[in-house]
Amino acid sequence: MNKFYSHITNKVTVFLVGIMVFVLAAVSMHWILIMLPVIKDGEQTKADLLVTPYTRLIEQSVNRNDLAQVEEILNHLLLLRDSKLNQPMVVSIRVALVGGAVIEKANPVNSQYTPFIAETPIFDSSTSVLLGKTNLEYNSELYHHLIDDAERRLYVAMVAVILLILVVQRKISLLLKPLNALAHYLESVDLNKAAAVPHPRNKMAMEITQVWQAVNQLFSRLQLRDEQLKLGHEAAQSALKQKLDAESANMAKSQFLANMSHELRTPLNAIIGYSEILRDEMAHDSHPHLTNDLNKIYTAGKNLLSLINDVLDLSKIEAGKMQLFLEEVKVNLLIDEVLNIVKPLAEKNANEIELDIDAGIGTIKVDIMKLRQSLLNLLSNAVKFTTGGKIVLQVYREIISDEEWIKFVVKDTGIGLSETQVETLFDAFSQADMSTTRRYGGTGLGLAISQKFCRLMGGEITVESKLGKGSVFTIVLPAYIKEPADTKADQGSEVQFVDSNKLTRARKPDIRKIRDERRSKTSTVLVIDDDPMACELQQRHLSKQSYEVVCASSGEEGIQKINEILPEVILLDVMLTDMSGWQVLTYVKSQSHLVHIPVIMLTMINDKHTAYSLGATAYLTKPIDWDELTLTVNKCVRKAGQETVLVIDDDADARKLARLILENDGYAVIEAENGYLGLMRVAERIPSIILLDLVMPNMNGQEFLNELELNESWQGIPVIALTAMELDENERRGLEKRVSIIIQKGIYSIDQVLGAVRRISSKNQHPNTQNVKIADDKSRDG
Amino acid sequence: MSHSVQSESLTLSRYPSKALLLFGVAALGCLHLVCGADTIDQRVQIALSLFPRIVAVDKRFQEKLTADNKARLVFVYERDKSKAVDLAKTVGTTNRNIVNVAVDTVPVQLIDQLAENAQAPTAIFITELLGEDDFKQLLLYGINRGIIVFSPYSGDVERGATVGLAITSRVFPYFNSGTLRASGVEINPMLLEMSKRYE
Repeated sequence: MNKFYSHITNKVTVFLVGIMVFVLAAVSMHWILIMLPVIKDGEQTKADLLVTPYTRLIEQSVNRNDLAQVEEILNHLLLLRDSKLNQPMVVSIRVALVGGAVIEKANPVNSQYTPFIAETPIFDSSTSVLLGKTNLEYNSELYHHLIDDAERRLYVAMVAVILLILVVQRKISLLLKPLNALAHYLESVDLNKAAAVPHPRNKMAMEITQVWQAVNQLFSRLQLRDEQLKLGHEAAQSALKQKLDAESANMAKSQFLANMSHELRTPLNAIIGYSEILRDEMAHDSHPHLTNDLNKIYTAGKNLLSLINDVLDLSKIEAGKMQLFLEEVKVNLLIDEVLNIVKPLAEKNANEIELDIDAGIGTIKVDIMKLRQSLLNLLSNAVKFTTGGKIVLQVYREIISDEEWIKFVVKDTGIGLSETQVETLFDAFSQADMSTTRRYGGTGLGLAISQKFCRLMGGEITVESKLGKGSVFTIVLPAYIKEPADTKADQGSEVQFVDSNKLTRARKPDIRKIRDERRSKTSTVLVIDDDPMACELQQRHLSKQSYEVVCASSGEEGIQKINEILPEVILLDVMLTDMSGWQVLTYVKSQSHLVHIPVIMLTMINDKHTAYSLGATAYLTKPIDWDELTLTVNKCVRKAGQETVLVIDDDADARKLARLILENDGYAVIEAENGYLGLMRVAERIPSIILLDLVMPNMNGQEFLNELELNESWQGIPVIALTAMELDENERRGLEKRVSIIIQKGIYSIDQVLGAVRRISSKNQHPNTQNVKIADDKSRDG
Repeated sequence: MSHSVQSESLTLSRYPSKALLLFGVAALGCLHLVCGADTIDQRVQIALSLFPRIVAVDKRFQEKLTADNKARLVFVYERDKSKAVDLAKTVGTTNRNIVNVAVDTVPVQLIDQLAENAQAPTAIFITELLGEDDFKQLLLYGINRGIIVFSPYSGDVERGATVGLAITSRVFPYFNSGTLRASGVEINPMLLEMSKRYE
């Protein structure tokens, strides 16, 4: 503020001094250039004017030759005095005549200054003859007096200006003094204790008073704001505390639910498993009344399990632990699967289900389990709340904001919802009303979970409904959900997808039957589970499937038995008493002689990611779905001793289709794009069978066969040749000598290829060349 | 036509400052002409009383008299004869003789005076502003004949006239020293000392 003060004062001072210098310079210039010459000319004029009339008098006197009169005139001139200085105006006067006479008069003036000179000729006015001249010396004291007087005034003016500057400076200082005081106060003020700004003792200018008042108002507002901030801060702290408490409580709740779910599912596992086994046994033993009771136990157990699963899902979502396992799936396959599940329930309520799906709906990359669960929930609700009506499922792609989305719309003609009911529809544990709960059952968790699943996958569920008219639920999901870094999809769980028609056809053979035929009846399965009931159930179930089942009740015992019996498959529970199942899995996968044994993880906790990352072959959740267990174990047993088929074809779709068919049938598949790559694959690992396309770029089928025949160790590999060319008799005979089976490409079906592979596989050591040609296969279009 | 008048008046009324400026310029022009004319007339009036006195201080005045022993003072003009006549009459009336020599004041057109057979004057008074060529011819005429060429007009002494007026707080005779030397005119030194000179 001192700087501010001195700054303003200095500025004003400099400004005033500048003005003063300018004015002084201007006045000086004016004085020197204008006033001095004017005054000087004025004095000279006075002298000239004085001499002129007297010269006329002198001329007349000279004409009369009256020199006494001339002297009198001169004396008269000498008597003239300046009234201001009281000094004679004329210093001297001299008349010089042409004849040589001179008359001169002078005043005793003691002046240091040179007088003004005024000279004029004396003419005879009648003859114009020059008579002489008059020379007058005019006193310059007056002139100098005037100059001195003017200079004095100038000095006085300068002093006055300087005084004025000093006064102005002082005045400004006084004006700024309150501001200075205000600045000092503001520098040292404690804002936490800010009171009103003290009023200065001096009187202030109106503008300064306004500043003073404005600062006071500012302080008032600051105090007010501080109070508001304090209140806001307290409220925020309180809210934060409440939030933390709520989060902590929520975490505790989630943990509690997770624990309880686990504890509940363990006995439930036994209830469902035993009731299912008992039900099957009772059915065989013809105890229909008991079967009915067991069915009730089984159904109740299943319902309870469903509820526990929902609660667990919700707690995981709320705890932020729900992970996504993204897979690319054919949408129509998923829809078929879901509709197959829902259809029986729909028929029960006399509902008709209509599917409206885009022909080329294609694939979607989602967490298939979560989408399936969400769709099942919507469809189940639609079916449940509609009686004798119609449920329509529409599935189509839509471009929104340059992104591809897939919409699943479930429309029903059921009881519908009021606006109030819609508002709370997606809240957990809420149903339309209590009467709904009583009439239709359910926990009210399904929609809440579905909504959270969809949001987790970047989509949304919306609902439009009218009471009594029906509802429309819409799931919209991105066609390709971006994979978050922390929920990387499991490579082992990737689904091979093909055109639905092809897949349907591929499933035509009774896979289970084939598998049963193909697997070894003496395969050993080791079950490691600390729950003896779980062990017993698995043993009883798998024994029925002709497996030899060995149980281990701890991790340590499990490891010992693995090394003793080298089982074909290991069923491993995660939660063991002495160590975790993950440790056992890690051990198995770290031993070179055990690493090939497939391990199926059985657990109630959902940690698929860990399982696959540690090398598990499959992952099943408890309570066990027995069909799924059988299927998985069968697949693993077959894999342990499976045959390898090398598919050499330049058509990627054809290779994919072959892989799907063959893998579903238990074969391992290796692919190669052309003959050259095919040879490389053979060199790496000799396949059991080669499926060879004859027409390919780089190295065609014939060239491949040439190379194959050159190597002795490769000569015994059975080859199935696929060709789109019409072969003449000679060509066919030539080819028949080189391959096991020839299949005319373009007219063959999946069944024929699979059949050929199976025939070679079953004979294996007796490759008889066959020629398969089907004239017309209407199902070929897939 | 009325259109244009209206339009003009509208234009002027739209720009009053411009109209005022035009009026001011016109007024100043008129004032300058009037004042200028007044100044010239005053110079001529003052010159009329000085001219015979200058002629009188010419040391060779007696040699320049006419055959009938008169001082012939010629008032030359180019266009305005009446003015020359008036001026000649005025001087003739107030100065019947110079240094006891009878004065003959005559208005003569320049071309006539420059003619070879023109009567030689004692001195010449220029009654109106002459063009450069005419002035030069008259000047040469005066120099060749050793006579005074008096011009009351400002600037003429600087361009060669023998004598004119220098007016400050007082009126002084104003001599061109070069012309004096060239024409051989000798002026009384007492007067020459009191006069102004153009070197």
